[in-house]
Order: sequence, then C-alpha cells, then structure tokens
Amino acid sequence: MTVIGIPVEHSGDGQLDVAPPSNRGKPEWARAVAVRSIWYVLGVVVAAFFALPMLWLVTAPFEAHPGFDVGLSHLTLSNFVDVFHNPNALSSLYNSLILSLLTMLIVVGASALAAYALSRVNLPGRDVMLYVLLLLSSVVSGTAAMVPLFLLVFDMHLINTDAGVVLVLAAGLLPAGIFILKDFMDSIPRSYEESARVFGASPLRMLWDVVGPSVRPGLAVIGVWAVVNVWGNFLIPFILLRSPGLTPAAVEIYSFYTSGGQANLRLISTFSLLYTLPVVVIYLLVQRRYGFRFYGGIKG
Amino acid sequence: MRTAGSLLGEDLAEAIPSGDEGAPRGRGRSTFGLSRWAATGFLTPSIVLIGVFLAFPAIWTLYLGITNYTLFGFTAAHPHIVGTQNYSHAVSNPEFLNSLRVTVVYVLSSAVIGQCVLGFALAWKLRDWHSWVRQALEGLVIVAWIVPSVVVAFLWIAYLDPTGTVDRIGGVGINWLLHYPLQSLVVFNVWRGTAFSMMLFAAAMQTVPPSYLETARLAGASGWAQLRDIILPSTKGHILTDLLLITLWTFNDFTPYLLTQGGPIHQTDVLGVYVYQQAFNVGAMGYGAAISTIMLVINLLIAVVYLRLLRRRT
Amino acid sequence: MADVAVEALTKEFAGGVKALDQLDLAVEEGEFFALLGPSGCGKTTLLRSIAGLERPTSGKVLIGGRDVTRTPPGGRGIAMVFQDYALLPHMTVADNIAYPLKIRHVPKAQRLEAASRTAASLGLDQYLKRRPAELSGGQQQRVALARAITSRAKVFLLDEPLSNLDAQLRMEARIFLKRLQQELAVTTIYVTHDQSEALALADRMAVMERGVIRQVGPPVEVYLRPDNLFVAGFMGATPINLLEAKVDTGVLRVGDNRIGIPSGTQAGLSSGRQVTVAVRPEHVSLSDAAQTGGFEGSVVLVEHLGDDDLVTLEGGGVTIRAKVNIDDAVQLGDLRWAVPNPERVLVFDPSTGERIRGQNAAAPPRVAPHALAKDAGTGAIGTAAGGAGG
Repeated sequence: MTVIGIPVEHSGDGQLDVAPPSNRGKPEWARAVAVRSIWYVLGVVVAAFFALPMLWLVTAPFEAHPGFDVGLSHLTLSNFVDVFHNPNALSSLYNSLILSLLTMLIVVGASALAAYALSRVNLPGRDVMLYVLLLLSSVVSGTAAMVPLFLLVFDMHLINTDAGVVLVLAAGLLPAGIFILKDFMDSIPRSYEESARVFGASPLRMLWDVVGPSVRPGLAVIGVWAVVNVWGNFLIPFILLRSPGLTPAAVEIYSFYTSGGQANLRLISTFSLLYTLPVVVIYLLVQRRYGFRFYGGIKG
Repeated sequence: MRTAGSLLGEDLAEAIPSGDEGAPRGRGRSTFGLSRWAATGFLTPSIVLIGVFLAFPAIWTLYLGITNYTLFGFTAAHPHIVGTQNYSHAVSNPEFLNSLRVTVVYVLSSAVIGQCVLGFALAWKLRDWHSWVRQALEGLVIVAWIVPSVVVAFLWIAYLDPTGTVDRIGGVGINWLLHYPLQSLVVFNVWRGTAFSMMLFAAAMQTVPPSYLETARLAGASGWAQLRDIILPSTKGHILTDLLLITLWTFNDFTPYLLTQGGPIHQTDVLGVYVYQQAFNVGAMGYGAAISTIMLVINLLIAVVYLRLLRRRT
Repeated sequence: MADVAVEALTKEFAGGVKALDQLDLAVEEGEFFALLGPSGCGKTTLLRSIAGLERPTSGKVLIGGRDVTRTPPGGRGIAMVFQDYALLPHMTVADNIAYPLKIRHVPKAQRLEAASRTAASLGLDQYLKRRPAELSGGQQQRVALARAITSRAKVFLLDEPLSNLDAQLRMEARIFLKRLQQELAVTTIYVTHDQSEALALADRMAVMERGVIRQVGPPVEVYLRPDNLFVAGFMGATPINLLEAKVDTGVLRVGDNRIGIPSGTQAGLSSGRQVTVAVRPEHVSLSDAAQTGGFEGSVVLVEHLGDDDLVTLEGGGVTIRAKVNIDDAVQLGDLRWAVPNPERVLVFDPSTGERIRGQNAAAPPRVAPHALAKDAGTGAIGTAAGGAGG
C-alpha cells in the first residue's frame, strides 16, 4: 500500500503507520478513547485558565464586603447603589462615553472620506501612501510616543481638554480605519456610482446616497472598533487629562479609595462591572448583527 | 407578460423636469467622476490628523531626545541641546538595559510563544469540537481580550493575591506579583491576548480548501501530519502577520504598569513603563524622548523584518 | 429625442492599448442601434464614452447636435442600464425608480407618483415597496428600465442588459424591450456580444473589432452581405463556409468543382485571381443527384441542431457544410451534392479580407489585411472561427 503525497515515514508522533486501521484491533480503539479523554481534560484546563480570573468580576460586586477572594457570603445590591451615588463614578462613565463618541465621529467621518478617495481615484503614489500609513500606525504607538505627544498637546494648549485626547486617539485609529473601509469601498460595484452619475449626481451626493448606505456594515465596524478602543484606553487620558472632572472611567477608577487609604473594593469591583458591560454587550451585538468578520480585531 | 401599454401619461411628462434642465453642471468639478481635487479634499482631514498627531510626534521625538528638556524646573522652559548625551546615558544605564531585557523576555515568552502557540492550538482543536463547546470556549477567550485593561488589571491583582482565587486552588499563600512578578505578567498576557491569534488563525484555517484535508485524510494522514503538511504551509503568511502584530503590541504594552508599576525593584519595568517613569515621575523629558526614539526604532525594525519575510513569501 | 454622433473618437488606455481607434458613428434619432462584437472589441468603451463615463483621448461626442465631449454624464440627457442593473440595494424599488428625480430635487410626493406610474406601466406596481434583492432578475432589469424612463432621457444606453438573465427570461425581456423602445421611440444604443439579440432588436447595427467598426447597416444586410471576412465569420449561428477559389474564365474553381461567378462581381474578378468564396451553411442545400454549381462529397459528420442537421461533406478537395432539415435523414457515408444558393455566394479578397463587389471593389479597404490560414493543398480554408464572441 502506498500513500500518495503524504510523507508518512516522517510522522513525528508515531501514531500513523501505513497499515489500515482495521488491522490494529482493540488496543487502537482503547487508545483513541484515551487520546480523546486527554483532549477533553486539556479543554477543561484551558476553559478554567480563561474563566477563573473573571470570576471575581461577577461575584465581588454582589458581595457586601468583597476581598480578593471569590465567594458570595453576603449577597447584596448596595454596592450598585453606592456607585450610583458616587458623583465621580457616573461622571467618569459619561466622560468615557463623550470621548468615545467624539473620537468615533472623527474616525468614521475622516476615514470614510479618505477611503472613498483612495478607493475610487488612482492618485499618484497611492500604494506607497497606504503602505507608509500602515507602517506608521503600527510603529508609532501611544506608548512609544507618549513624550512627544504630551509635549505636542501641551504646546497646543490642549492639555487637560477632551479635544487633545480625542485628536490623539483619532489619529492613532485612522490609518487602520482607512484600510478597513477601503476594503469595503473596493467591493461596491462601480456601476452603482456610474448609474448615479449618469443621472447627474455630484460626488458628495454619490457618497451620501450610494456609497454610504452600501458600506454601512463597514462604518459600523469602524465605529464600534473606535468606541471600544477609546473606552478601554488608559494611557492617553492618563497623561493628557489631569483634572478629576474630565477623567474617563479608566483613570477615575484609581481614585476609589476608602477613607482609610485602602482601595475601595466594593466601589472598584462594581464600577468595573458597569464599565465592562457596555463593551461586552457591543461585542455581542456586533457578532450577532454582522457575524464576526476579521478585520485586525476589535481591541480594547 | 405585460407590455408597455400607454407608458407615460401627459400629465406625468409635465411633472418631471427633462434630463438636461435639472442636471447640475460644471461647478468646477471634473467631467469624469471624482476629480483629483475632490479626492485631495476628501483625504485632507485624515492627512492633517495623522500628520500632526502621529507622524510629527515620531519625528519630533528625535529632536527632543537630544535636549535636556524636563517636566519641571528651569530646563522645562529653557531646554538646550545636549547632543547624544541622553543616548550614551541610556546604553550605560543598568536600569535601561534591565528594562530592555525585561521587555524582550515579556515579548518572547508571552506573545511569540504563549499567545501564538496557544492561539494556534485553540484555532486548530476547536474546529472539531461541538459547536456549543466551541462557542463557549471562544467566548471566554474573547471576553478576556475585550475587557478594558484597567479592569483586567484589577481582576489579576485579585486573582493572584495571597487571598485570591489562585490561592484557593493552589493554597500556598504566595504573593505571586511580589515573588514571581515577570512570570505572573507573562501568564497574564497570554490570558489577555490569545484571542487575537486564535481568531486570526481560525480565519486563516477556513481559507484552506477542505478538499486538501480530505485528500490527506483519505491517504490516512494523522491529525498531526495534516497540521504539518497542509495547515502550517497554507497559513505561514498569517502566522507572520500575527507575529508582527502581537510582537508590536506586546512590545508597546502599558498594561504591566497597571499591575505592578514596574516593580518590585524594576523587575517588570518594560520599556513603556520605564519611559513613563523617567519622563513623568522623574521629569526627564529629554531622556524619556531618547528612550521613546529607541522604542520607535525597534518598532520600525520589527515591522521591517516581518514585512520583508512576508514579501519574500509572495 | 436626439441623435448621437461620434467623430474620430480615440480612447487609449494607460499602457498604449487603443480601445477605440479614430471611430466614426452616427445613430439616428429614435433608432434602436446595436453595437456587436467579441469581448475586448471596444463596444463597451464606446458606450461609456458616449455616456461620459470614459474620457476619450481625442475625438468628439455629439448628442442632439450638441458637442458633449466635455459635459459631465449628468448633463448629457442620457440614461444608462448596466449589466448588473446597478439598483441601489438599500432603496426600495420605488425609491430606485424615482432616484433620477431625487437628484433633480423633484419633491418627494411628486417623484414617487412618477415612479409608481412608470412602475405600473411596466408591470411592477406590486413590487414598489420591496428591495431589489427580493426581485427576480427579470424584474430587476425592468426596474432599471423604469428608472431610465423616469429620468426622461433622450438617449438610452444599454450595456448588455439581458446577459444576466437565463435563456427563457432573456427571450421575454427581449420582446419587452423591443416593444418598449417602439413605444417610447427613444434613441437607444445597445451593446451586446450576442448576435441573436442584435439581429432581433436593432434597426441598425455595427459590428466592431479591435476598436474599429467593421460594418454598419440593418441587421439583415450585415447578415446577408458582410463587408469583410471578419463580419462574415462573426455573424451566423453556425460557422460560415470559407473556400479557397481561383477565377477561371467566367467560373470559380473550388477544388475540383466549378461554380458560377455571383452576379455583380464579375468586373472585379479577372481571370487567375485567387479569392475566398463564402457561403453560409443555411444557404447550402443537399441534393441526391448531380447538380451544376454543386460540390460532390461524402457525408463525414452530422450534427443535430434541433430542427436542422448540420452536415459536413468532403470530396473533390473541398470540405463544405450544409444546414438541412432533419427530414432529409442524411446518413454518415452518404454521397451527396452540396449546392450553394448562387444569390448568397459571397466573394472576398483573401489578402485584404474585403468583399469583392464588382465596380465598387475599387474602394481601398481601411482595415489591415485579415490574417487567414491558407491550405493550398486541399483548396479548403475551412470555416472561419465564426461566432467567436464571448
């Protein structure tokens, strides 16, 4: 018996030899069960590895006196009442929302315009420009550029303003946004716009009537991706915003201390849950609505 | 089938302006679609934003790195150029060299080995599991990835605390973040970032035509042989892309700051944290900018190396 | 309604490919004009240049006597129906039909009224609230036509509008389109690679090859009297017979056979001249008995086409095909006489590819000589790669 195309003799785990399975008899069957069991055990281990750290997030907010352990000895909802009565907690969630929405508007608007131009007009040097954009966005991270970013925003008198944070974050998200949207734009048949042009539509009208609605899923992906990114971002608001009234949730959470100088775990855990839920809900919605399409990911 | 009949009533004909009256003309735009001018206009907002807040800082940091700029004091207002002093200080500074070493260990063990291998294994194995098991496991992995970083930092501080969940299971009362800080961070980052690799590889494996695997199965190839002979060769490009992205992300990760602030005794001082502490805690902006420049150059090197490897494949 | 003229139109794409080469064309007012040719012949580029979607390298486009070469598409008073219909997927059928009016800022109520009227006359009234994706291909195509109608364009440009329909629907849509055009009497330019569509629909048609027009005329004229070997080979459901022949004192010698010189061409045929004789299989009949002007041969192949059989005969150094009724019951190996209808025999100059028409043959051909594979040994050139469109 010959096996075509598969270099069986190099098989590393020795599982495979050339004889057909029927010749192997009972030990093979037992071995298959053993192998299968090992995989199930591994599966359970992996599931535990990913699930265990998250337990605290779903138990501590409902615990009257949460520590770092997981357990529900005194079930309560009073922690939530506390969070809603804490003015900083609510206003920081509101700040996060404002920062996210403003950044999203800029990213979606600017990247839609740019992606449309790049998709439809063969500008000289377009491919080089796209390549440089991609490189730039992956090389210039907020972490590596935090010093010049801080000084730039400071010199522009945008330190301690929403505008500074929004502009810096938008610029970081734009290149990838343009890339993803250009893909969407490239997939719209040109005949849609040509047909509109024959009837006399202007470029902006084509963008509004024809292209915009056709790339709505793409705009949604970019929008959600921008919101989730800004919502979870810590470093940029941490270095650019200093006054308590402006800080978003990611920074504000570090101000939750008890009068004794200890971290207020009741507030922190409950606030963490409230702060996390929107992201998870958005993720579920996107997955349900558009299925999960892989675009370099939605990273928080 | 209906035919045209009386197609256009007279009243209808009056109601509609005919083709050439209402159509917009000229207005300075090109006859043929989106003109170069319009295209440039469409690109302008993005180019300005990216230029000012992404490209310019990257270049400006080159200049800042050769000054003695500080956050406070006299040199905050009157910095002057000190040449390569910041750089010579850096390469002879054990703190910087330690930080570089910590970062390399962190990137290699948590991203290149941890996330990439575990992500690939999950993508490969989850394919033949029941759909609800698969969805549940995938969901867990992905949630670990989308939860905001400050929240996961608190989760892991609680998880690794001597009174936390790990202790409940292991029961030795160790303060992991104190005694095994870098090891803890590596495990943390595998947990945090595996989702991306898993999803990318799952997408990549879907592009392998099923007939390839079926041919191998008919020939009697084991799961391992299928993986080595079909899946790996077909997903090489995706593996490189994945490595490029997770290497860059992990190299620039600031989350360790949220867990350990670089401590204890600089044991988790990844470069991002080191830059932050030098620039904002010590106030040595010029020195911080020099470290920033080194980070940017390393980023560029990583990107260029991977992109060259990718291009050689195609 | 308006006429359309194209003068010395040239379109060169980057890389030096000439899609249109000094092309002239005049389409009359109210005419249904078909542009036919194999893929890559430039017919779609010509249509898009008339629409203003392509910028010509040189030359002029005139619509209704007005030079519109520099006018944007929207200012040309045209409507275009695309191969994929280009219906906007997010709009209802009514909104799609009314879209040209929306661009012209016609109030909503008025334009929807116009759309529903047009829709009603095209049998689309019950679909107004649906989205294009919920309609069949034939219905989508009618929506695209309805949209063109509401634009009140003076010229319709149709780019292979039937090619996305299956065979049955295509026949129905063809009839519909013809009646619609007759009713509207709107100048219509129709691009297709399917000659049966052009023959069935057009008042006049042009056959294009590599950026130039090889023949313009009414479909019957183009079919029966092709100007050159390219058109002769391109037209026709079955490949035309092409036979190498020599003029010999009042007759044409084809292999061992002789046929009479077609009337009207004698003047161009001096004795000893090499020519190519072309005759369509449908203009060749079979006879059991010897016939003057016929070719004797044995049947080597019988292809069943439905009502007809396509019979290939070989003999006397000639291979010839005839289309005969299935009732003739031709068998392989039968000895028959193939008799071309003398009225339908065409004579071409093999070096230029142009048809020889007696006195008129003096006009020099504009086109480069058509390459022909010659097989002097048998005298048979074989059949041209007819219908090579795609």
